[in-house]
Amino acid sequence: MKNSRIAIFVLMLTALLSLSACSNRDAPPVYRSQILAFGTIVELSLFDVSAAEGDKLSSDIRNMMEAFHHRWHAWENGPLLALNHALSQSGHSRLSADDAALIAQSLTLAKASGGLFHPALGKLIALWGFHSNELPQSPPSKQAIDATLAMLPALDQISVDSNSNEIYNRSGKPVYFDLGGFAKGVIIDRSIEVLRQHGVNNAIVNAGGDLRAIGAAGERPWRIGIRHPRDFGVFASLTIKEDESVFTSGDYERYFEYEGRRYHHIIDPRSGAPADSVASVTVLHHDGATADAAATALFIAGTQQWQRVAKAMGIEHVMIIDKNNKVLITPELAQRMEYEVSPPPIIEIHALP
Amino acid sequence: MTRADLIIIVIAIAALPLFYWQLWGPNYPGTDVDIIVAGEKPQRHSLLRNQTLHIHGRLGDSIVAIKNGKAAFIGSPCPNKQCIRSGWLDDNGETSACLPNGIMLSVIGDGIARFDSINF
Amino acid sequence: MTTCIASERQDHIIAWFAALAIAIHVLESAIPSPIPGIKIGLANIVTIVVLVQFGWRTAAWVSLLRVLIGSLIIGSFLSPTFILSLGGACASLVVIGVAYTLARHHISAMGYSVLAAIAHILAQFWLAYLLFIPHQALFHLLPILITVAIITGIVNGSLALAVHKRLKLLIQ
Repeated sequence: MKNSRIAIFVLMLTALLSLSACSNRDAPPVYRSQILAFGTIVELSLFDVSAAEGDKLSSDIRNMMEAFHHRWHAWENGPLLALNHALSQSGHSRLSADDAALIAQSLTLAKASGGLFHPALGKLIALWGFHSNELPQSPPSKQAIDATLAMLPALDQISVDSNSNEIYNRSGKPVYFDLGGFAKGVIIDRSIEVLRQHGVNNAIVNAGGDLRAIGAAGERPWRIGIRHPRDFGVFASLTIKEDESVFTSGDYERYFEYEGRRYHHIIDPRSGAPADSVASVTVLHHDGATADAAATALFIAGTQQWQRVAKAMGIEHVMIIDKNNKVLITPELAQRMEYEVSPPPIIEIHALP
Repeated sequence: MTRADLIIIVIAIAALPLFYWQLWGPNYPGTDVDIIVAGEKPQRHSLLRNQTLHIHGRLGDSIVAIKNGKAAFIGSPCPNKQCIRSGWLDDNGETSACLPNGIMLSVIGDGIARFDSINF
Repeated sequence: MTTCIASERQDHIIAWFAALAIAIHVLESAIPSPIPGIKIGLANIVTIVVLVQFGWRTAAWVSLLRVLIGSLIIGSFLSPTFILSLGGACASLVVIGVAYTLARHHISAMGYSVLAAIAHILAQFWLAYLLFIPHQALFHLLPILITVAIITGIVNGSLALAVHKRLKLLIQ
């Protein structure tokens, strides 16, 4: 009898102590690392990868990204400036097969976008002051913009010979490649390739907010939150099917304010000024490079032309958040998107032509 | 002191490591930081976006910096600056608080965060 | 008639000990705590001594009066501090009440003190979590809080044992 009382007592105490020990930790075994590369923070989430293996992969990917960053840096002295110089002076240059393929890919995407994604806007972006780690103070003058626009080469005047890996500029105007709206996609794709070569088939590579996810986090799919373009926190979320890139272009990423107006970094090659119609465009697509270029192009296309441009670029899944937080979305993506804001946003579903 | 007392103390002490293990087990890098002002809803900020925030507290503005995946108090109106001394936080569950000003930072990561990755 | 005397005597006991507990409670609240949220809870010693000497009912009265009047004196009545204090006191009373009914002849002031301290902190923790800071990160403080609770429970327990011994001599 006495003993049973003590036993009850012991049980009670244990129950008391374990009462709050039941905090839920359903963390999947995901290796995560954040590396500084490509001028941004790159986050790797690798499912079921040991710390040692993850560290090794992080280091490989960082090295690859840093090499790429140097190779294609738009304003620091390096190979891309040399290429721009050669194309402007002699109208011709020879590249490695790899580099030629990359330039060719950017030109193909540019043409598909009707020139809205423009890989040779370097001079214009520099004029706006975005070729600097510091943000500019004021916008350039209308005359300066017009003068720069007049010197913009037509994209069909630039070509790459895929056999000889030679690149030609027949426009007679200087060429300033700036792969800013595309390079991040390429680098993410290449990171995914590195991971797959090492047998990692469940991973997310997130470079400064744009990402590609492959596989799943074990039994459950990867969960992606899409940040609110105007507010803190997550606006919407979705889960990844097998292999998808999620890229967003927004007016909140790099911008400065001058006399009460916001000037962001996505320049419309038609007007020479920051595109001004929506808050953000999110594109879901298989490969990162296409998603990146498309997010830029659709952002510039705006509410009137995005469907046509998406169709031309082979993009099926788009979500646009306009300046009033209204959502324009393609039908299939609309089925998958969960909104995380309350009240839920006004949604317009638009099928592509 | 009786035998029952001893049993109670022994069980209590024996159960302690369980708590430490459960709650301070393996750490994961954080993805976001919650800034909690006493009595208000936590504000969540991504650790991926560098920024400096002025957070209004009881005594005045605490300055919170988010830089390269870490967050810290870098300025505070409180007298002893304990919050600044606690330094940069980056692991899931790490916290730092400025109690005089009623502001707390808490890093959120795996197991707590609802998303594996944030797109912006 | 006897019941009347008994209850009068009990009232006096409650009043005296509650007054003592309130005095300690108020004094302790005036001493700044080295770590926020962590208090030794010296007033609990009174509750424990009353429990072993006069039983649970009297202890409950003393404890609840202490929380109520103490908060009125400090000026924290119905504030978060008061709610946490009341929650902690109630949980302690429930736990030591169960222990008292189950194993009165086995447990001394020390055991009750440790149990009360743990119950107290767990209840306060849950209340704080549910009402004021609904944040997962709070759980990371829990191991420390429980460690401190066990230590303060033992410290208060030995003090309560000592006080109880003298009190018994005094009453005899």
